[in-house]
Amino acid sequence: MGSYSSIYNRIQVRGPFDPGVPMKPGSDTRIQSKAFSYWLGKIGDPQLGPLYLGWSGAASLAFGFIAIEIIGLNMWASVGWDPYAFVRNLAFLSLDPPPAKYGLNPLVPLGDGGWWILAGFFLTTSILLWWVRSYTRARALGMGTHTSWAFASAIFLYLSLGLFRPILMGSWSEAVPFGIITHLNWTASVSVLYGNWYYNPFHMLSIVFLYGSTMLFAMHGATILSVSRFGGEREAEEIVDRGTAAERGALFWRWTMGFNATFESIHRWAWWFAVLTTFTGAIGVLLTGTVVDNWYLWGVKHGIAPSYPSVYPSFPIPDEATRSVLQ
Amino acid sequence: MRTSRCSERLTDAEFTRLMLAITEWVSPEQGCEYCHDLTSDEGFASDDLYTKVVARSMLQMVRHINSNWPEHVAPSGVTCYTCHRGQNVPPRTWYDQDRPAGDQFMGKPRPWHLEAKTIRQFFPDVPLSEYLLEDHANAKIQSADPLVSRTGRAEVALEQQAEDMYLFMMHVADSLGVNCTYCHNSRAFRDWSQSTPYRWIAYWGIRMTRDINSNYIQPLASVFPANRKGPLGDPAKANCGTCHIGNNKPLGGYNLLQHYLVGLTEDGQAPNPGPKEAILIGEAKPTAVTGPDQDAAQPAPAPAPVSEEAIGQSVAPGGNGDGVDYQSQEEPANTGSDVGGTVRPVPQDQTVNPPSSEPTGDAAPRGAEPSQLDPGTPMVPSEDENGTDGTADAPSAGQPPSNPLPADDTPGKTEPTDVGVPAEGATNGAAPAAGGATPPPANRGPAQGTTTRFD
Repeated sequence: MGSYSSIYNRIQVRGPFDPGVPMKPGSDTRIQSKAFSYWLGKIGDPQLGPLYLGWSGAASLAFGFIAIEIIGLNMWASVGWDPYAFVRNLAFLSLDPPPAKYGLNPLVPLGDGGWWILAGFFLTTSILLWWVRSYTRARALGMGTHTSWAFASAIFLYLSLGLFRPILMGSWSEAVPFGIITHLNWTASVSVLYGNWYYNPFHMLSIVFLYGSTMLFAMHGATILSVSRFGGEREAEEIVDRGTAAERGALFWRWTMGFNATFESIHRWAWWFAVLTTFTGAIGVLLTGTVVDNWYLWGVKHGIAPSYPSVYPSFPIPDEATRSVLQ
Repeated sequence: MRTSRCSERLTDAEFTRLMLAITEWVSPEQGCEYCHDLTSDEGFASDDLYTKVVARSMLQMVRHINSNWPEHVAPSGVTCYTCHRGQNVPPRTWYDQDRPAGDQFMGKPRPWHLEAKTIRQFFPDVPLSEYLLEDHANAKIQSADPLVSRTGRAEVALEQQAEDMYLFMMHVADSLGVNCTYCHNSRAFRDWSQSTPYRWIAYWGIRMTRDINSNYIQPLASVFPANRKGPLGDPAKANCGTCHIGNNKPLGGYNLLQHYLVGLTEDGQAPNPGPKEAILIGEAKPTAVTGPDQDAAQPAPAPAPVSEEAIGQSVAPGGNGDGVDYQSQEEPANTGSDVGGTVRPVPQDQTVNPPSSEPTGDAAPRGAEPSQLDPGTPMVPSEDENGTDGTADAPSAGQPPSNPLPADDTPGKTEPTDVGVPAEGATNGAAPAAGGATPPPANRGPAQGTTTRFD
């Protein structure tokens, strides 16, 4: 199959409509929308459907819709219901959590952060229901639940930022606002506030796994495409029935870097790197402000941050400037 | 006694000169009558116009700054022009902003500067009211301890306060046209021992701005008319950008004050450069001593030994004809009549690279006419009525009529006579006059810095 050797795909497989494997008893019926899309075929399978909604999917979509409505209508209200200003400022509009004076009180006036709590509740419920859907659908097809647990790792990071850490810190105001620019500002501020997050070892690990994920993705995708002329696209078969594609790919990596993952283990590498990206990041979030107040000084204490000789002349520093914070 | 205190030590000539300068700096279009109500009986002494009252306070402010804030403004000091730049109101000011209230949805969003050209200009002015008044927020937001306090007392500010601090620092950076690391070591923003001396100067600048805003500008709130005030009824106040306007030294450090020392300082003396020199030049040695001086233990650097023969064989610059002339080339080489960027194509035999055969089977592209992209296929020129030819059949040799070559004797084409040896100058200068048909001797070597083939 030399056609797979190029970096873009010129093949579109178009057969009769495939209704999928038989349903298990007790399942809802699938939505048999029979359609083929030429443009979907450019990036994947041209067949649309069948869809499966089910109770968890329907409820997830409903809760998610409510959450987006709350966020969007609050943003729109904050520009005085001006549609032009809403579109133009969309990236900068925000739905903020309650101020610190409310602590963890769930009964906050709607205009002072109560809408944030409601939006967070509906969005969290929607995400958890979508997780249920990913789990039950995998089970219904007799698959393993690897996807669900990888998704759960991302959910753990989301909940750590918006729920677990605010609870540990005792205030909703510690949570992230809903907003495109504002959540980025939150990230930058929190990094500086806690003494430079780059010295947070779990942030370091998260970056390692994130960048490692992209590298593994590129290496694996490139390997499979490059051995497809030898049947390498039949990855799953070659896991247990190693053919010349697997052996050439393996030898390539042994030649170039002395070690190769197998057709099976490369998928575990990729799965664990992706899962650990968000999992280690969540641990770093949960330790910030609850255990560690200044990650740079933590790094100094544990020998991560070396001290460098001063390159500037010493100059007098006012007492006021060196007194520690809030004392 | 309505007479300004400024005039007490000024001679008549100096006073008039200062007044004329202020007119040019602040109200060049309106003239004297911008501040002076000349229709009144009192004439120049009249305080009927609010601008006169403001100007008097601003003069006192400038004198105060130059004499009492040398840590920040020495040696150039400030004048009215530092901020005003020929305008009635300095181009960069700020007003108090309404904070979001909790009584409706989520209140108003921060007033971002949506017309900003850079991300820093985009940040809102809200933090300025927190840090640039005498009654200011605590800027020390980070903890000095690695771990949380055992007493449970918070040592870290709230995130919302940190964001305001962050926005204020972005304002400072934008005003000065610098980055974080101009003052800070970005790995530990709070640590003074790792900061640059400029942080110390900025520290004084922030305090000076608080002094200006709280003691000179805010008290004028009752003087200014409503159209000069902000939405909350406060006068336009100063921030770092009011003087700096994108420059780490306002006006590039130009010392305009020295011509007006008597009127614009309290004691007639230029701002004392001592405190700033102590910071920048440093009277003390570096604090971090990491052991014996490593540089002293190293042998002194010496040039590597070179044999006499090697020197003899190398090209001697400025040789008189027996070596290659060595001179930097800053203009295109003058090699003939068609050096205006024109490249003649090398004629190529059409049979050397015959078009490849059409791909078939799997390799055949779908949905495209393969012959269109094949080299060697004759292109159909688009002979439009309006003459808008495509670029594919544009002439690749010669010069388009719309862009004729300049004449040969234009100055840009002559070899500069001062870049090399003076003796060569006469030869180079004469070459274009001779018609340029033969390359001048200065260009016997390959054309430097170009891979274009001239023939």
